Amino acid sequence: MYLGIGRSPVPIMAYLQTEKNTLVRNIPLTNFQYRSRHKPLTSEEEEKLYQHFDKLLPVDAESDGREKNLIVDLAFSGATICDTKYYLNQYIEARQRKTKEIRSLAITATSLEEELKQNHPTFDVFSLAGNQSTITDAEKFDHFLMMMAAKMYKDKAEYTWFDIKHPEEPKIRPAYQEYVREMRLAKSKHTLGLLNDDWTNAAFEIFKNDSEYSPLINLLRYASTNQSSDAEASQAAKDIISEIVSQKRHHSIASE
Amino acid sequence: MSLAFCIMRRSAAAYLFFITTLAFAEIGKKEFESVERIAQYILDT
Repeated sequence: MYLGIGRSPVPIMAYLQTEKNTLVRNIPLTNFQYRSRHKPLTSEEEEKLYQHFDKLLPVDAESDGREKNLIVDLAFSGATICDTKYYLNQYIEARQRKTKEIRSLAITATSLEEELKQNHPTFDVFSLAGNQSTITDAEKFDHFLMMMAAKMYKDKAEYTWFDIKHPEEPKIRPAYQEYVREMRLAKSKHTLGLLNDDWTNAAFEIFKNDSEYSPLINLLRYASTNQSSDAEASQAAKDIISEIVSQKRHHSIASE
Repeated sequence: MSLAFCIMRRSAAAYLFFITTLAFAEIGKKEFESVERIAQYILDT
């Protein structure tokens, strides 16, 4: 069973959902860093979290014998994955679920791969560092990560947000199923060579010669070294993109 | 309308284009390939 944490890995989870015989669950967890960055949950909050898991995770009979889980998330520091794994293990024990193994996959930028591996030796870490064919590929991939980090896919997420400190319940968003259908269609089109170049290329072309481009990519490292939370890093990514837009506009006005 | 003003508008529009229209844009080739690469890694391991 593949467990996508929050809204960042939405495109990955949608793709996995288009595959045969996969069991995919999206788990909304906003700013979930209780233990690594914030105080551990109280027993009342833990029970609220378990009820949240009860609603989203299939019971043993529905999981069709699958006893392994893989947590998937975009990671800067790894804190969210680490804490989610801890509380999922607690949940499995408390509810006496049959699940035996929880693994973690941190999707990250090339510049952060080694650091994440050192800090979290049990994580499986994916970046293009070990998979790239060219530097340009890695740079484009990192740009794609930035868009995920900046929550550009939040409107396609399966659920609205869920914050353990907030009473509001997450709601289902129909846009996700539409996105899964779109992903299925993109898969067919890609096989036939019918997919068009997209915003990723356009964004790369715009940024590649800019002096501001480098800080954009290095933001991931900044987020990690400054121990800021993933949410802060996401906000910083948005701020930097806005700043670049604003600077460009300013330069254009000045040159006029 | 001056030439510089036209360039300014075009530049700003280019940046705003991919930022604001992503939510409505179709899945494109590079975007799909990035997603597929990660997903295949997950499925293979």
